[in-house]
Amino acid sequence: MNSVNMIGSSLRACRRQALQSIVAFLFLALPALATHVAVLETTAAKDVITLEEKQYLTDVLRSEAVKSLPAEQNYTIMTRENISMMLPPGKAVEDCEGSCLVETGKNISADYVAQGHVGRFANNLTITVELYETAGNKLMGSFSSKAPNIESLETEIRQKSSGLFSRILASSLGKVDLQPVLADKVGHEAELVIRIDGESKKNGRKYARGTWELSPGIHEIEFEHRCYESQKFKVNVQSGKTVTVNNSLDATMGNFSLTTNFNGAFREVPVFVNGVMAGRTPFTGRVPICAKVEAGEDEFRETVVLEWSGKEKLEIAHNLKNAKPTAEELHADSLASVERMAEQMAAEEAARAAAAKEKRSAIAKPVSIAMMVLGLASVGVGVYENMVASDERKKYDEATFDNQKDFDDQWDKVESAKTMRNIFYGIGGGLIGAGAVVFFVF
Amino acid sequence: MNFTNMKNVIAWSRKATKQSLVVLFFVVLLFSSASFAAEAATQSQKIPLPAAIRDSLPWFAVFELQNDNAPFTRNHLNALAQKSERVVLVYYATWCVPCREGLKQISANLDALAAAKTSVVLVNVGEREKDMLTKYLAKFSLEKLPAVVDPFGRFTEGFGLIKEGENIDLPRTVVVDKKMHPSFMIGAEGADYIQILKGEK
Repeated sequence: MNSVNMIGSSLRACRRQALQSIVAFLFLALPALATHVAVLETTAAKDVITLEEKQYLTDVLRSEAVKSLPAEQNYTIMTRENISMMLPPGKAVEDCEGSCLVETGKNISADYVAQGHVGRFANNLTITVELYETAGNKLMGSFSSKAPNIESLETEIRQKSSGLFSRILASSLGKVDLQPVLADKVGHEAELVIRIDGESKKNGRKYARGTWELSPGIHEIEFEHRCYESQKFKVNVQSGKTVTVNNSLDATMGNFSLTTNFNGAFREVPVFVNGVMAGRTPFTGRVPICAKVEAGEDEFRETVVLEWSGKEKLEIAHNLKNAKPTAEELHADSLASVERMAEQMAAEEAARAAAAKEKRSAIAKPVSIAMMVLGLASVGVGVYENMVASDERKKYDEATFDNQKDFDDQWDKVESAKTMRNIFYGIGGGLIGAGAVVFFVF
Repeated sequence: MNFTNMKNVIAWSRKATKQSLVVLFFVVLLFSSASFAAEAATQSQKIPLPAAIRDSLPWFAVFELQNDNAPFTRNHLNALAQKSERVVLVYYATWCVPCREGLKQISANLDALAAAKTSVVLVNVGEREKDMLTKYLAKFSLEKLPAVVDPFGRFTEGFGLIKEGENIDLPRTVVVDKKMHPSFMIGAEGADYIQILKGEK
């Protein structure tokens, strides 16, 4: 064989990797082939039941399988005709059990094969139904029952077979792990609405982030959140496998313009969107509708409330509560503060003066009263001395003196009293006057 | 010519020979690849039939791809064989790149095959995604040909092409005559593939 053929052969040869091909295509509509379930003819020990009764019980089993395994989920319960057509000619299933049933299932391309066998136990009829998975060669489940007659046996079959066939559903379920990424981390997780096949709940539980069991096949998933663009797409769920859905949702954007005013005049300030500086006012741009928008410098940054209310465009004139002072304001402030300081000092001075005055007044008042009282007292003493002087004068005038000395002494007394009177009048008057002066002045 | 010169000449000759061989190797490789890329090998690869189907085909039952409730059994194949001179079972899988050559040839010669009364049945090996398979065949304009799926290996293990649990080599084509006797099996398809399928070779 020449080199060309060798190269061609080696390149052409293709080996199959595994018995079950693993093909997972997300977001493509790829329904699998129907899952075929074959209910083979019921067998019975000799003369236990008639052929018609066996066929009837088989039909009952098939009808229960149809009820348990919905066609919408791509299950096909093979008909008697199809099974007959596909069974190898001459093949009898009466003596077939266990692995023979599995092989029969493979021979007729059935994914699952079930068969019932009727027997007799004492006075009762018994039935055992087994269900096998052909691909895995395994017994999925079985049930046994007994009844006094065939009608009761039918009832038993109807009651118990749905549980058996439901194992197919349970084993064939796949999972979807919903992990949408809210890229901008705005909005609340609780606002995320997830729908699977149009439904937002399953068995009363609201769909949320996490893993959910679904039947194999194509399912439609929808993510909805007021802050993000909705997404709707299909996933292919495969039996026994988990599909992870971790789409990143895009934030819904809106056209936004912002002007900022402070004290009635426009004030240019930086604008922050989700903490990142996006520009300065007057600001125009597209922002996520749930973004946190702030305006202002440094410690004066404040939140601007956005209410989109379904609008695509929002224009806001925001009045700043506080703003970082400008250079002019700072200068004006400094002048004002100097003036204020001067005023303050003057006020303090005045206060100090007033306090001092108050203090002086507090002292002066009693002093002045004391002085006036003393003055009055002095005047009183002066009045007394005046009376003494008058008495002494009267005595001078009326007395006869024996000598010049007594005459002079008496005159001295008069003079002395007058002098004392004058002194005390003077002191009293002075004190009263001084006290009045002190009272009124201080 | 002194000894040193002779040594230099020999060294130069060796080097030139090596370089020439390298160039020649790459030229051969280039032409080989070009040959491979450009067209199929001249001869299709005929392979001996496995013992299980040397005389006849065993019973089988699978479902059709287009209608997965419609069985396709040996009886159906027999009915098809009765109407034809021969039936060819073309085994393929979407992951098998060399299989595409054979499918392209069949697609390009559908009328010629029909005129030669050769019926073609496409047998998918082990895949279950119905839509994917349908779209795959539509790419080759083969969606109207009978196609079956064989999830349980009736056409492979059942025919003795592989033992239980083994992997199958693809492509494979089994030619069955009018009386349901397998005639021969083809591996890699060559330029004469269609001639063989038409019974001209």
